[in-house]
Formats: sequence, C-alpha cells, structure tokens
Amino acid sequence: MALSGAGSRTGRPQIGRKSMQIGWSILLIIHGILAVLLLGAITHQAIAAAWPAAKRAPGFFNSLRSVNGMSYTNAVVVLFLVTFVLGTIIYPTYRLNVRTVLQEYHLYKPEGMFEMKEHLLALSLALLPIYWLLWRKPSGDNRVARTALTSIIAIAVWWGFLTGHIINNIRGFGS
Amino acid sequence: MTKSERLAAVFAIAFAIIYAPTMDFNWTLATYHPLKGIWDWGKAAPLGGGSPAMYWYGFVFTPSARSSSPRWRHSSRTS
Repeated sequence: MALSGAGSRTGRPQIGRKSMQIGWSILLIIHGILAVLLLGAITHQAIAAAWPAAKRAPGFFNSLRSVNGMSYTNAVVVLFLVTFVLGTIIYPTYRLNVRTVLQEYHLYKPEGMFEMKEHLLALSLALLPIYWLLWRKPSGDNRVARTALTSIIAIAVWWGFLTGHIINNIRGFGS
Repeated sequence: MTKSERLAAVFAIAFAIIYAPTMDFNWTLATYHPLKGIWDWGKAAPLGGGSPAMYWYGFVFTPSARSSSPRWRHSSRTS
C-alpha cells in the first residue's frame, strides 16, 4: 500500500510532464499547419505580383500567375500574425530543449538557420503594415514596391518554414 | 503616397535600422527566463541553475517602440 502510494506520488509529475509535452506538440503541429497555409498564400501572391499573366490561359503555371493577388492580402496578414504569435509561445521550449542539444552536438548550421529565421521574421513583421496598405489599393505606381515587399516576406516565410522543418527533423515530437 | 503609407514605410525602415544595433549591443527592452517563467526589464543575466536568458523578445520590443516614437513620425511628415 505504501509502495503504491509512493509510486503514485512519483508518477504524478511524470504524467504532468507528459501532458505538457503533448500540449507543446499540438501547438507545434498547429504552428506548422498555419505555416503551410501562409506559405501557399504568400507564394501565390508573390508569383502573381512578380510574373503576372497578360490574360487567363489554361495550364498550371498560367493559373498560378493569373490569381488575384489582392484576395490573399488579409489572409496573409492574419496567418502571419497568428503563426508568429504561436511561434513566440513555443519558442521557450525550443530554447530549453532543442537549442541546447544542437549546441551539444555541434550542429551550428541549423542553430544559425534558426537565428536567421528569428531575424527575418521579425523584420517581416515590421513590413506587414506597409505591405497591407500597398495591397489595399494596388496601382501601377506601387507595383514594384508591392512586388518587392511580397517577395521579401515570401523569402522570409520560406526560410522560416524550411528551418522549422529541419529543426523538427533533428529533434521533433516526443524526442 | 498617402500619409498612412508614409508612416508605415518609415516604421518598417526605422525598425530595420534599429534592429541591427539592438542585437549587436544587446539593447533589449526585456529579458525572459524560460525555466522560471520570469520577465525582467532590460538586459538581465541568466538566473543560474541552468536557466538561460532569452533576449529575442526584447529585440522585437525595442525597435517596435523606438520606430513608433514621435521623432520618426515627424521625419515622415517632413520628408
């Protein structure tokens, strides 16, 4: 009886830790899914802005080029903000459980890629207001600026997504 | 360019300009200690006991606050 009592006392923190781990994993999965949606939206918009189709024509690339970039703007802003906030919530878990392992195993390149991800996404966050304003009233005058901003944000999102994927492959769920 | 577009452009440029030295000189507005769940104002050393100090949140707060300051907004009006 005493033994089972002691067992349950020591078991409780383990159960708590396990459920915390599951909670972080769920947040990480949601973060990843939102990142995929964001990646799709910003890539479509960037391609349509940088390489617009003169007229609608059949075929995969023509369809990709002829999407209406304006219709993606609000989705991109909302997805970016939600994904960014979720990323900042799970960031301490990375700092405690993943970065230390990367340093122990001298995996400096993925660690450096993650540092770049932080900076690129922080800078992209600051670009969101002007990005939104330019896409709200697109014109021939602001076409170059719109294309440049969309491309910069798209590159940052791609970098962030690939880095997150690589880090997750190195030390992902339940490890 | 409308006034709001000018402000947003100045904010983005000021953020990028301030972000780099903020990182280099560690002008962080806040420090987070993830193991203890404690926030500190400004730059704080790690608490010890294996608890690291996280400065990146502060790196985002510092340029956000500074690039929103009236001085930058004034420069956008005069440009």
